[in-house]
Amino acid sequence: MKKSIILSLLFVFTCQFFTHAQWLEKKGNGYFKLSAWSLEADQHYTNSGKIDPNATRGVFNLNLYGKYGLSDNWNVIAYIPFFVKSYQNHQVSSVTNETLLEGEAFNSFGDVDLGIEYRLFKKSKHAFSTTLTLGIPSGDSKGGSDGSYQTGDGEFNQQVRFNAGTSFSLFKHSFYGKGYLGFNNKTNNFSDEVKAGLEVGTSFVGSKLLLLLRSNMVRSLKNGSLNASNNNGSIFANNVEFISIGGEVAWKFTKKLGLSLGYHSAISGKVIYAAPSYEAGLFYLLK
Amino acid sequence: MKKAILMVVCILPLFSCVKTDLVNDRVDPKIFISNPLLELKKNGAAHQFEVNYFNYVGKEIENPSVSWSSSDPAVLTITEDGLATGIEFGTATVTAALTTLEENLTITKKDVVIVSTATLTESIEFIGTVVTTSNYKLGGSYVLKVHEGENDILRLSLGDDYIASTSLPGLYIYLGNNPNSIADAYEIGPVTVFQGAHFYDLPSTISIYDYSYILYWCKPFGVKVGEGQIQ
Repeated sequence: MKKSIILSLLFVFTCQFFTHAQWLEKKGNGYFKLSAWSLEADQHYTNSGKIDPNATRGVFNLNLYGKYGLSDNWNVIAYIPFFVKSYQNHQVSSVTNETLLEGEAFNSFGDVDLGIEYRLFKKSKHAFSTTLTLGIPSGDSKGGSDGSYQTGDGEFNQQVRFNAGTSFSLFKHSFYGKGYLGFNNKTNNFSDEVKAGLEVGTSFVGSKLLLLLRSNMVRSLKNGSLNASNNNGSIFANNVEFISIGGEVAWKFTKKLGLSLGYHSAISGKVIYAAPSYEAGLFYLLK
Repeated sequence: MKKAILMVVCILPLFSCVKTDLVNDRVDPKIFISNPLLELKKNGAAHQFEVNYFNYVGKEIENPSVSWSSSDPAVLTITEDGLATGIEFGTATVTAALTTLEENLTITKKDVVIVSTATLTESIEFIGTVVTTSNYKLGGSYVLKVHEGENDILRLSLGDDYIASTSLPGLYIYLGNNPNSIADAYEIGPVTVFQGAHFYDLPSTISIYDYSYILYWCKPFGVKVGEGQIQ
């Protein structure tokens, strides 16, 4: 039982970072962000999509995201969660004040994502690209006293994604919209996944303030055999599904530096925490 | 800028520390006659009744102060210490009563005893059903029984109708006296069978009367997902 439901959230939301930067970076340009991401939940979506309670568990990570233009057509992308903390609260009797179950925390490096994006074509206001992302199992898939405080899922996955973006005007104000459709090939008997997402954003105050709304979706193909009966009673999070919505506010306080705050939450799902995640980051634009 | 970055890196982890969840683990206090009888022989055959008392959080309290009574002293007498003696053919109900210290509640347990010519017979089997207490599929019939032909081993058997969701992560089975906590429960072990009949042999240190619940617990979520009352 090497993978926990806690992790499902962790990986679920890493995809958010990959949609953050706008279009492809030009040659020599880059977008880099140092972020803190946090999720804490006392309930979760079951495998039937209903909500059940759980002892409060949380995941916190500090991560670096970077996207750099090797050329106008090729970008490299990296997501590096260099500090991941998985924890559970103490369980204390409200009747006797005795500790029923000691809480626990486990810290380590997380799973790294490495990707490369290629511009398929760009015409007028429309742009199309494709991304290949490799999920490196660099985290710990057996963390904590019972192995359920993982900071990685222990499997190597490969994700192919097609991205499309456009810009448009509404009420004399400029907006951008983009979307993606992807396929995530997972290993170690995990089910493969189809992923999709939409994002709409705009800027104010001379492009210093950026507001965006985002929705992501993951559907399991349920073709992986991993479950509790064939995994020696261990912990896992297979066949995770969700639809999430969220938003982000970013403020550029210089031409190259800015601060962003994000909020995302699953509005439906299976085998995933039913709680919002929060993110705060400092970003740097290399130009 | 460097200071701002350092501040974010240092302060944000503080929001993700291990805190405390309060769990309401109050239960109704219970007593059990730990060695009940079905039958007791007439003419002076005696049996020393004993009880287990579990308080308002399911903790066992040693040497509880229990008062004993017989519904028909002409058939069966019982002393203040719980020593019963068969006097005449018939049926009598033995009652153990205890007043709890915390709530000042009087709780009782009754045992119907037939005084006959038969030898002393103990009841050594419980039959019941495990039901889900969550949105995960889990349930089935069970038998908790002392197998006299197999060194008096205590065996918990789940029936053909047993089923548990294979999506349940970290599912463990326990015997306990508080359905809201596994703090004082006995951990039988991780669940590895998710459908059909199977059994668990329990250690000789456990009596059939020691626990009042079968608990299915999801360890990673720290919650009960199913239970069966041992009546």
